Amino acid sequence: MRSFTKIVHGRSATLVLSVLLVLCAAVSAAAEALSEEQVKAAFLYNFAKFVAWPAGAFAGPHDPIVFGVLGKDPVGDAVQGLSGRTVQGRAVVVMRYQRVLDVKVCHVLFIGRSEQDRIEDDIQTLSGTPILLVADSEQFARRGGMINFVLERNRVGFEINLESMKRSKLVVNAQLLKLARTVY
Amino acid sequence: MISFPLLRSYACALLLLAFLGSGGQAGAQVEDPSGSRNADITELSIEDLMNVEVYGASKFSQKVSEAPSSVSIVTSQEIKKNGYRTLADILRSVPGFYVTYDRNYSYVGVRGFGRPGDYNSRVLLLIDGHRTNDNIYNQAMIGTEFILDVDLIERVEIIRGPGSSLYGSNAFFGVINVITRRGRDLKGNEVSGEVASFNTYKGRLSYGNRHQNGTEAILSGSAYDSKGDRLYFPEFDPAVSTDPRATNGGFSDNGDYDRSQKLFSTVAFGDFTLQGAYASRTKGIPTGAYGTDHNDARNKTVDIRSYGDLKYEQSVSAKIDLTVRLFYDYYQYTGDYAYFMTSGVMNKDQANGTWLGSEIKFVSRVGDKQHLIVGGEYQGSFRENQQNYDVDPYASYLDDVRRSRIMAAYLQDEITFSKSLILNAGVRYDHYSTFGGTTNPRLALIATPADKSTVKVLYGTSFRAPNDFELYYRYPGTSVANPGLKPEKITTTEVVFEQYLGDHLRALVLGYYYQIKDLINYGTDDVTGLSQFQNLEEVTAKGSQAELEGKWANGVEARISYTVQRTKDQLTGDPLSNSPAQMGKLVLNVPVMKEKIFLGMEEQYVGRRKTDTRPDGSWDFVSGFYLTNLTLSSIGIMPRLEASVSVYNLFDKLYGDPIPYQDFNLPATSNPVMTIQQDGRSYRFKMTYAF
Repeated sequence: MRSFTKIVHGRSATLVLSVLLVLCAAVSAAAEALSEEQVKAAFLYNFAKFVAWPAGAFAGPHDPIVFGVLGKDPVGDAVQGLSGRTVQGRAVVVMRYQRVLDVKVCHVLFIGRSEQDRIEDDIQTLSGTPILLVADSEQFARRGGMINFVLERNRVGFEINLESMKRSKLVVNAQLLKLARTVY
Repeated sequence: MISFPLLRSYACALLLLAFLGSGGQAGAQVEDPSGSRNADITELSIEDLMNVEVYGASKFSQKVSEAPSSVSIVTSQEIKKNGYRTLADILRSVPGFYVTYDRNYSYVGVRGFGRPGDYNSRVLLLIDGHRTNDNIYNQAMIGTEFILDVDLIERVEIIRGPGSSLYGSNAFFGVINVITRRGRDLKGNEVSGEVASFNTYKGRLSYGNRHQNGTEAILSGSAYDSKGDRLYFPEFDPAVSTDPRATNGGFSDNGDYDRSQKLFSTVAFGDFTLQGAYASRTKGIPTGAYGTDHNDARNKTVDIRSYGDLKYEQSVSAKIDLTVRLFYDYYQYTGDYAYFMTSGVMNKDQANGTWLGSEIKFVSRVGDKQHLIVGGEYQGSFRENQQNYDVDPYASYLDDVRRSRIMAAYLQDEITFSKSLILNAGVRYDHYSTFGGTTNPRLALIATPADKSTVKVLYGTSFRAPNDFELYYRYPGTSVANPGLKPEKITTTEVVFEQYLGDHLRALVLGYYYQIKDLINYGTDDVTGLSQFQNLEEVTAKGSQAELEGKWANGVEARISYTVQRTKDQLTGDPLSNSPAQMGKLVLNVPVMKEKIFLGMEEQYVGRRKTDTRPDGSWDFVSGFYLTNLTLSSIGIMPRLEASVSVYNLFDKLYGDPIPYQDFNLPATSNPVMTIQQDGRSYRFKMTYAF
């Protein structure tokens, strides 16, 4: 019978300590990767490039495009960062809304996590208005929302409800449809 | 003086504190809404954005915390970053799991239960929902014998606790579901090569894509060849052993070889998915198992496993999804056992299995409040053959031909009473042509008292059907069959508490109490006095586990866990063999260079374990051990090239795994092999190129 006695290497302890030091240094020096929120905000910005709004959605050719965030959501802060850029020749303005009734002039609306329980009412209220409704909530697109983020294998994807978009007279570029995980 | 293992645990604790501090800070920085770095990523196209890997709080998908069990997930990224070579390596990293290797097969231990001599029949192993446990030993193959190349894994979901209410037999302690990569994950070709210690080489060629018309395919082939280590067995060293097989100074020179070829393919078209897999593995047995000759490279097992699985998924209506599955499975095992030194023969042990099955499943959402699953399964085994014979002079000891069938129906309902309370109730009835029927329920109450807290109270039973080996294997003069075996039964109660701490940390504490009845073990037949598998034992197992997991926006990921468990044989009052009372795990992944170079570090502790019991009732203890593995991987330095260097068992720790006392065919030796020494420090270098 072999016995497996504990062997204490002084050398090993030194090695462990140096590994720890390297790791700690690595942790503090670690470069930041992209956060999910930032990626989602970038998606919102990109969606706007692929959607055509009906004539009445903008008062004039140089009116800003309004990105709204309804309720509380970490994505909100990242969307704030889009302010000042341009899409389709229009300046981006970011608005935050507490309640769905506050949403007036808006083109791309991200419905935040805090709206989870009211999401169907929100869809009801906003349906038919020329606002691109985006959320991050299971079943959102299926229930009549327009674009829903899905996180799969650490990557952000999206699903589209084409019917809802048509109902709101939003025209979506075929390119975007092709990239969607699911089109309802 | 502080002992080294103790020092190391202090160091780990310090390290954890260190990275909690710095990781938390980094997370806070990312949430800084200044948006300065948004400038870069808004320039990316949607296609590029879809390929960006993200780290964030919602990475802990809601489904995990709502699952009626405690679930661990290991992703392909973690597999790469930590240099996992086999499914066994992956399971070793999972809280509460341990793996025993007898240099022939790898065996998974769960909840303190990993008895030497049992095949992996108390864990159900699925690939994309397809049952891989075979129809003769019901073995989940997790080492190099696993049917799938680990490189083709997208993620592994480890679902703890009884799963018979949904999955039937073998889902005794848990279910391991391996999700494979799809064509779209490759978008072209991939070639991969590995060189590792002990003259180990591996190559893989894969193709995958999704076409405009929606057809998606992946096709992959791999080959693996390892010469293996030169191993020393004092039991066979003529200088210190009187064993009649002792020779060659106790060394086994060429016996540890391991070779495999694997093919895998999935094609999806419309609502259909067709998957096929094939693996053939040949493993030398260097350990003199079953009283075979020492240092004879002819001792080996060959396992050939394949299956074809056709799945049809369709939404019958907006609220009902239908899945139909048809499958065909094949398994062949051949063991070559050299007994030239003792009886002058080569003995062959064989098993042949073929089975066909189908499954139909409806998933329905009844309003928003109910989620109903109804399904049925049929499995017909039309070949379950076991043979044992000597080659020359020919003598047959066993030629057993069987058929059997299994029918089952199941129902599960998930009722959402309110946002904070979910009840998950399920029941399944299985009917076996061998032993009759068994009904297994599961009840889970999942409460979310606060936004970031989840409490689960789980109760369930599971069963394990006796396998053909236990029912029918017999050897003249040694053992007799027992076709009257009943299934093993387990009743479990478990409480899980999960708490998210801020956006980046998840803590989990669980406790469980299991009662196992009619456990199958070797006993003595009253009539013949020969050994026989019998429903002998009653075992209780209890334990608790704590986990802390963190994922930060800067790419730092860490998981630390500690498990305390006790098993008790109700007959003897002793703990089970190969049952560590304590286990600890640390997995730490740190980006060394932004999105390009990662360092993966693993620390595993397995407490001391009892060996199997000798015929005279004695046993030993195998010391507990700490293992350290390091992997440095480059994922993005060159656009299409991934490379990694891994060191396993960094400190060259000497440790062993208990194996069963199995020299029952042999002139009794006073010094049987009871423990198998595991690999010391070893290295692997791997490169993967996509084109």
